[in-house]
Amino acid sequence: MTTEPNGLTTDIGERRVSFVVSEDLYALDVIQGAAYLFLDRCYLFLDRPADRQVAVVLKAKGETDAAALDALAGEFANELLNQALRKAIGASNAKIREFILAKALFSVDAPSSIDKLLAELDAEEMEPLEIPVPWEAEK
Amino acid sequence: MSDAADIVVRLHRSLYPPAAVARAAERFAAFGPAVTEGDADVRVAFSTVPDRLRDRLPDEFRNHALFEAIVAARVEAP
Repeated sequence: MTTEPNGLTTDIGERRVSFVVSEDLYALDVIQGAAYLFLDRCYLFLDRPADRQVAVVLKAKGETDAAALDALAGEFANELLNQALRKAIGASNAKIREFILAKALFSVDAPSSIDKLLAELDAEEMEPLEIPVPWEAEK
Repeated sequence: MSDAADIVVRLHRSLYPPAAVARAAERFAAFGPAVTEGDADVRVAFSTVPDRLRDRLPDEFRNHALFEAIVAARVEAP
């Protein structure tokens, strides 16, 4: 078991590295966000050794060594930070995003579909119906 | 083929919702999964696993279950 300078305590075994993440530091959706990005690179397993603790197990899909596993754990830790930052920025920008989206949607100067249909209907009414009439037109 | 239900995967239900595990199990239907729910975990027992896949199957299944759990969490997120 080794403790990195960033405080991440990793346990490296055969083809696998594991560590525990506290939900007091990283919310579960942040941990899941990081895990999602590693699904294609390695086998992932999450477990709950204690309340508000998530054990993360990363297992290499092929042959590897301790240095590579240590690097993998480090990358996961970096991704945890990245996901936490994205979440914080997303939350702080939520109002601005909603405002920009609403402005974009409602500022488009296009005729409504109902207006367009009514205009088409008016145009059709102006055209002759092409039904023969039994009377002669006035001359 | 190996004998009945000798590969069991245990997943903590606070991290892997039973519905997500069940969805993952559907994809592994060829290996005869049986899903049972406990108080704290969801267990999936595979009954028909070829010998050549015995090492890989639990790991592959855990990845699929995690994927389904993440997708479910994102759908439920406000």
